[in-house]
Amino acid sequence: MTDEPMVIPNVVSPDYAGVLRESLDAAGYHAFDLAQQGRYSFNDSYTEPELIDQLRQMAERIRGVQFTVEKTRWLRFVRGDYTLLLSDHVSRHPDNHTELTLDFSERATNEAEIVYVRGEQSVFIVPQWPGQCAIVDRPPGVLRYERYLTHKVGDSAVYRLRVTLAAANRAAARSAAT
Amino acid sequence: MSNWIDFARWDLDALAREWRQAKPFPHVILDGAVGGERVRELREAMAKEPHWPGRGELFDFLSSTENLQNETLRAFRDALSSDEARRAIAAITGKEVGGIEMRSFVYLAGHYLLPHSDWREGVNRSIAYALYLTPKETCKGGELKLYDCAVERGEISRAVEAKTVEHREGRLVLFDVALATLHRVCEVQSGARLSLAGWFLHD
Repeated sequence: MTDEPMVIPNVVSPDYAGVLRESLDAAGYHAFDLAQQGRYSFNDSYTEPELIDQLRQMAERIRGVQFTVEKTRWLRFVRGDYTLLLSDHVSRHPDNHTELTLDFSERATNEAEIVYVRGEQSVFIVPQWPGQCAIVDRPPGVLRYERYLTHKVGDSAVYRLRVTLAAANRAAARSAAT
Repeated sequence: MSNWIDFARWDLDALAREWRQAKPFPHVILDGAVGGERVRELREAMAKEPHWPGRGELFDFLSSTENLQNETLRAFRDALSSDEARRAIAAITGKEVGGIEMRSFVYLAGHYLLPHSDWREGVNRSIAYALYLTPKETCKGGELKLYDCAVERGEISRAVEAKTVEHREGRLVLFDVALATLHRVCEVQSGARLSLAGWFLHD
């Protein structure tokens, strides 16, 4: 058990990733395009309950705490896309939480890294690599951006599933308070 | 007259009008602000200046430090911060300016600067400027884009690309620094985009 940020390789197979991409593309996306925050496509309603539950259980084994799923977001990035810190600042879960990001892209682009920062200091950088899952604890001071995809990525797309997890006791306490 | 820029040639009243009327925010574009031979001199000086890779949330490019090493670049910076230059800038923009910050920038293929405003609380940047030194038809991409922004409760709530400025050799661009003066440098597709850029500062 550890609370260090980490990247776990080969969490999903290339075949399963292909099925996920196809299903998500068929479900469709919303476009996010606010220049000062980012540009990308997302889907907040698509769901894969079994996959999300397996990811939650994996995080519980690694962190040694029980989690509840607070939010899921499916993301697709192509050439010219990016997210900036301001976007995370205005939309992030306000409390301590744990964030999983599963990459189910077809190819590695050598771009689109996820960068977690505290102030001006990078605290963890997640390379873009198909099949991997990053697990990062996010206290309020830790923000995230995703690097711009240049023309060098060609027609490659980066697919990500982002899962926000809250410790079960914290979620229960918040629920009782409301 | 400065050795680098002939400020006496500038029609300050006309430029001041242009500044005030410019959309989406105050700016002026001065073509041929630095003449051909001088541009070549500055380009040669840039080639001798150490440049370092810079990569962050907003950018990926090569730049010098603010502490310019090359004598020619330092001389140009001094000309741009001379009394004559500051009087001209004040006449155009209506802002009194003091010192100047300058760095040399090289954007290669895949380099970019994402949308941002240069304004920061407690930072004394008053007017942004860029002198372009890219030789004609040697670079694809790298245009400066200016955004038309709406501001609500002190935050930008909407931003639309409103103007494209090509980085023509010898062209000097001045633009206002404020919360909503959002701009970007488009990704360079091929070649190299060369510029000397920074800010006129207020005291």
